[in-house]
Amino acid sequence: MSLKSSAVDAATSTMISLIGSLADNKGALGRRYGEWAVSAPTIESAVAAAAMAQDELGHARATYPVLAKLGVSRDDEGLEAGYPLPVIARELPDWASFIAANLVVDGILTTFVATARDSSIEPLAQRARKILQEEGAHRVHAEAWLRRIGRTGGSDLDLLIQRIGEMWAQASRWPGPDGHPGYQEAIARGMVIEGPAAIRRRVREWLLALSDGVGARVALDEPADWDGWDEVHRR
Amino acid sequence: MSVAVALTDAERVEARLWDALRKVEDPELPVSVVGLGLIVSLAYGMEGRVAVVELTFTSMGCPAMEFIEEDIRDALLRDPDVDRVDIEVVWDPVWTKDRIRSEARERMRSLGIVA
Repeated sequence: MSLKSSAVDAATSTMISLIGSLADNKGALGRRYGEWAVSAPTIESAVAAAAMAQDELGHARATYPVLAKLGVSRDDEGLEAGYPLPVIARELPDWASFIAANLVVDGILTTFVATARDSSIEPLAQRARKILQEEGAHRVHAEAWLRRIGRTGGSDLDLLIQRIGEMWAQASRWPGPDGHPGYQEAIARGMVIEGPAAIRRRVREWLLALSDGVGARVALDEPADWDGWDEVHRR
Repeated sequence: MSVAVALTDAERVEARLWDALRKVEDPELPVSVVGLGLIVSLAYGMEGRVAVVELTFTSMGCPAMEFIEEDIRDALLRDPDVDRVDIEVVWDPVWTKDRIRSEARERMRSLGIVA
């Protein structure tokens, strides 16, 4: 993969990073979901994993062309390329990781997409509406499995809570630091309507309500240390 | 009382092209791409003898995208007045079941497909 762009303003540069990384992570999420399409704990979830994989790969494929509208030429080297979050860059080790990715990574990315539903970047807004339509089923799947594992309790629930924490540690950094100048300018120009802290807050509130519902406690701290954060690949 | 409306040459071609699209079936469902609501718009330009199609899909991960585009292109290029077909995939309006036309819905129901 190569990125070629001429000099752009801070808001556009931030949006290029967000959109390119959104596509990278959706591509990786699609591959991870797909790997469980034959080994999920139930046949229903195996079918759901295949369907969600198809959705995510479609979202990635449809999102990359938005970069061209922002003046970036990106050579597509296939879905194995890109810079996804490390937690989804390789095969997920267990079903708890699958559900944690479904909840946390998918949750963060979809919440970002929701902030672009009426984006002044029209091709992004168009895709956002379709993505949000399709992501509704992913959310239902994640919530249902959290409740199911919550009812089981014991080591299954302990592992899920651990995996949620691991996913959160990386995915919560994806939107970036609040107050980032490029992000603030993007909000001012209507490219998105909310910034990183609002995305984290929405996902955190949703996850805490869900985990409270099954009597579990999950730590979803605000990222504190941004040293070494890569603002191009958002990790 | 019926009123005869004279069509322009371009409108006559466009009408033929819509007929051609009504014969293009979705690879997964026994209804046309028009009936399924996949065709967002169709325009014909006399000057370049070009048909311009705005096309959407039921899902972003539709595995039949390329087949459908090929079938549409082939069908339109069979028209003697078309030299080129430009297809633009669009996601707005978002496809929902509401875009299925009533005759296609009836056809699907007759085959036991809920629509």
